[in-house]
Amino acid sequence: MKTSGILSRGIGGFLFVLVVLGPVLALAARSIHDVASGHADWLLLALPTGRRLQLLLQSVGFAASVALAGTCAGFVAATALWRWRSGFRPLLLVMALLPAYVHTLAWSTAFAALNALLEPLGFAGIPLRGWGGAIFIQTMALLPAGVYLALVGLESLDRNLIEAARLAAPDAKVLGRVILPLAAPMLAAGAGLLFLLSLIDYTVPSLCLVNVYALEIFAEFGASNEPGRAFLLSLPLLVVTLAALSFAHDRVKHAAQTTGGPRAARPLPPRWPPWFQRLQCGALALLALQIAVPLATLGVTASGWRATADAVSAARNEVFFSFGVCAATALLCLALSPLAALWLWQRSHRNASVWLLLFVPLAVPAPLAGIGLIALWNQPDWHPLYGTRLMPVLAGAARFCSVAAMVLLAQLRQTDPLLFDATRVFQRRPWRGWWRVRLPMLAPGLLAAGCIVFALALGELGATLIVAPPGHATLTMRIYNYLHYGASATVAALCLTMTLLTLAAAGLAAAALKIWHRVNSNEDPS
Amino acid sequence: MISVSRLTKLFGNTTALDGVTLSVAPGQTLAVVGPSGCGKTTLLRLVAGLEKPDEGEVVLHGTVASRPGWALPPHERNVGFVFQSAALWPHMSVAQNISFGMNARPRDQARATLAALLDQLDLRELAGRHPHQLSGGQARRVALARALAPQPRILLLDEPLTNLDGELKSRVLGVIQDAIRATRPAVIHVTHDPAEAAALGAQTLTLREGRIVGGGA
Amino acid sequence: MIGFSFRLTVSVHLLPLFLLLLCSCQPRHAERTVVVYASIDQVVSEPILKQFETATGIRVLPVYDVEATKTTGLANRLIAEKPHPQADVFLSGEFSQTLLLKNQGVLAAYRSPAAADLPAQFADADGFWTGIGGRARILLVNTRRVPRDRFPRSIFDLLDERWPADQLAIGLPLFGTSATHAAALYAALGPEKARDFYRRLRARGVRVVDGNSVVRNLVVRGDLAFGLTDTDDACEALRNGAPVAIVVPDQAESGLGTLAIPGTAALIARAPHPAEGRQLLDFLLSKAMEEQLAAMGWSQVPLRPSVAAPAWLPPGGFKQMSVNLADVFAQLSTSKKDLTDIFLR
Repeated sequence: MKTSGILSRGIGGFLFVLVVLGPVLALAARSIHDVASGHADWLLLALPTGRRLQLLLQSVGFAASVALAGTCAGFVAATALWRWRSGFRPLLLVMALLPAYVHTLAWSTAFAALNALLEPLGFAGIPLRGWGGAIFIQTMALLPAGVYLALVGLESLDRNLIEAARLAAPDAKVLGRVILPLAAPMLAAGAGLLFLLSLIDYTVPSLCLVNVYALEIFAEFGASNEPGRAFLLSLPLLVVTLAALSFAHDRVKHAAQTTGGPRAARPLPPRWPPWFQRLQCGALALLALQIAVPLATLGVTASGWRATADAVSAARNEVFFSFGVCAATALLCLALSPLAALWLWQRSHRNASVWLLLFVPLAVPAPLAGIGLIALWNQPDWHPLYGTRLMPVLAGAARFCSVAAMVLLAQLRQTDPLLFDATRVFQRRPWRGWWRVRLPMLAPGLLAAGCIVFALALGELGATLIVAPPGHATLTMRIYNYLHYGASATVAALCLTMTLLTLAAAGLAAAALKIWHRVNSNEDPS
Repeated sequence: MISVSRLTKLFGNTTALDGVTLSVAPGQTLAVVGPSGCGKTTLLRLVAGLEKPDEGEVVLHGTVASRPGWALPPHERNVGFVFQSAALWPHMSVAQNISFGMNARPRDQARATLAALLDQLDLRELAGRHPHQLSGGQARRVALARALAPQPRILLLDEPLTNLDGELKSRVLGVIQDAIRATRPAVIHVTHDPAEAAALGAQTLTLREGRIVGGGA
Repeated sequence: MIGFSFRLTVSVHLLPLFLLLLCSCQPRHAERTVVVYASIDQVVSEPILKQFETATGIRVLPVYDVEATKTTGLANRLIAEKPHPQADVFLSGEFSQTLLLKNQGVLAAYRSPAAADLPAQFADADGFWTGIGGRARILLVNTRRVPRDRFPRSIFDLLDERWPADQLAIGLPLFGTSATHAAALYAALGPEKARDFYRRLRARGVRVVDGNSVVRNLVVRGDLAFGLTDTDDACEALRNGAPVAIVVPDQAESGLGTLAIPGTAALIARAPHPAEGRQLLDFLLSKAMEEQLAAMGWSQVPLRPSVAAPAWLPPGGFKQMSVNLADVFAQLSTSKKDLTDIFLR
């Protein structure tokens, strides 16, 4: 191998490890140091027993229910949306990023209105509390992500594989025997993401008056102010997530070995049996409600255009700062994640579980990730980065770069490796190979990854708050501040702004991709 | 019996197939030749019911199977199709791939058919393997076995002998000929090789830019 | 295998990183600056900090905490930054985080001359922090659900069977001022009695919600008859014209009194801009500023006796729980451990 190749991988790998795994490694190093310097008893925190075990089991049950419900409903809705044009996808992304409290407030308002109608008629009201309420709200909050990931999974399938099956069996059987298993890796990755996001979230369970393990970590961190203890306490979440993903992955690994082929973008309309059509209607109705209820609640609460304009004008600094931070985070993740995805893709043929590494940064609670970032980057003797506007970008990259890598890895797994080999043979210079072949092939994945990272970074709070440069705040920080103050009209106006911001980002990214394709296709063949 | 009349298919502004009329009787083979992009594969997809025509109709065994805006579902046409790529389901073993279309038949009969096909196409050793463990030639043989397994009344072959070496090619041709003799399907064989076309004893039809320019059936 | 090259590395990895570094470069401020970490609502503290900028020409660079991070935000940031501090001043809406920071060696002593007239109990004996504004724990009652003659009078009414448990709520006593209040009850009643109080609350099924603002929202909406919350949340509801009333609990002669929680301001040890930090503290801790803070709604409980009491307070003030802040802080870790066992299950 050329020296330049080794150098390239070395630099890329070092940057990925530094930016993405660095904060977790810094935290782990701190915990090891704490344990080694006389706190051996802290190790017991990583081994949940008694009340903590009960909490962990509750949390796993909660997260598994949400992942299952979100993935199933997402898949069923995606089978109905599959053959439509993909213009509605930015809206799915936007809805996926609305903070969980917006969903909670929206749904509790909707249920209050429903109960007000039901009770005079002699029916009992439906309380939106307890595990049922928490699972419902969390599933609704994550449903767009479930639909989005299922759509990506369906559309990346080889059309010939589906058509070959449709010649031999009715569409319902094709769905169960061919489409579902083929889309399983993406669905499993999506379910894993939903599982993990539910496992580390305490907002919705807290608002529904049920306790989860993530809250225990915060209670411990708040009581001891020892990041090492909180990190050890969070290890069971990581173990549970990796075990669940590993279990799922072992059952779907053959489906990942596809040889590529025409994408299944808009197939001949399938003929589903009536029971499945009813399920699709149900899933689409849920999705429509998921979009309509929060937007309607926000729209009503925002109390008019003038008030919205005033709220946005007052928050313009945060709007610009957030847009800049999120765009930079997406850019950084797109620079780092292809290399990681390719590295994992090459290794996954030998060791199918290495991609699970990507979930490690996601399983660390956000404030702890922030503390890890400080330990890693607050080194003024070495470099002047800490305290700059780059820190929220690094926080977003540390938390979400692995999501971008996962999306690209999922796409690579559906790509014929021969295409890459052919590029290597025929390219005159490596950069041209990237520019003309690899990047265009990865472009849809890059666009999706960029948009997802942008959306996640826009909603990030815990780590950003810990490393935000003084004098700068993100829109999410401002929204949470107003939320405590009880300014619901302002909160609603800012949430609507966030929604528009993400739509704009997704639109810009799609336009940029289109222009790039055009430039690429018009480029002189010489 | 395949009967196609005035079949036209547009993709946007491009005319893929333009007023094609042909018919193929049971036990008969029609070879379709022509340059790349002339509409050969589109013709097969329209007959299989994977696309709807913009004009004209497809009649199978005396029943209208496709007309503009309507198409009988592919699985109700009793069609076997060998795609240009092997298109094997990666999560199923070789045996499962071949058996997929035989679920409606009695289990013993399906097992016997599977065993016979595995032997005829020299696949017995590979029955438990998954597609990513097969070579290109092995994958094509599995694809052919899968198409023949349900004993279809219509067999559509899209370059089925690609990637096969000389000896294997004649053996596979033999299997196809046996199948035609045994179950007498109507066969449309898309190929670019006149020798392959002749080997199946076929009438030949030449397509160019979506139109029939030579031969005919 | 994928081909890589040096030029590729530069274009794919280093160029975006370089661009990001370029973007991250802070404009060097020619003017003087002061960095404030504020665990106080941005809505109320922002105008005051702007006022300081106008008065002194010193640019204030704030970072605001949010309730959603469960008080694990800025205090932990300050502890993690201790080797290389970024902040000059810490402002908090309560005192327990500040006492924690003092114990961790994060704070520097500074006795502001502007606070010389402040009663002694509202400043640290060693000068590590000074009180600024205050709030109190109160019962917020929905006046549509509860007639005035049936108003609760004590926090122990939360245990009274007259009230259905699902019509009453407290904030989860593991975070924020709900946790501080619990520690104060541990200090005032003794751990046994306090633990028993919370056990009975839990056993009764009183709603334990995500925070004081949630208690307020539920009372305002009429989902609750009353709930235990802070004066800042309650006053906000009153200002918005909600059908609620404030009851200061346990005011009988033999009563426990309620907890008053002073806000705190402190200078950070080895602060990058110590002179500006002291100047800001002098600005914030004056009597004139306390009056302004009261008028703006930042402070609901005056610390100086000479500052006029707000309208909601009973004439003659109210009876405060007789505990000192250090004792409350000392109970905090025990109470959080107990209450984690009681409530997180």
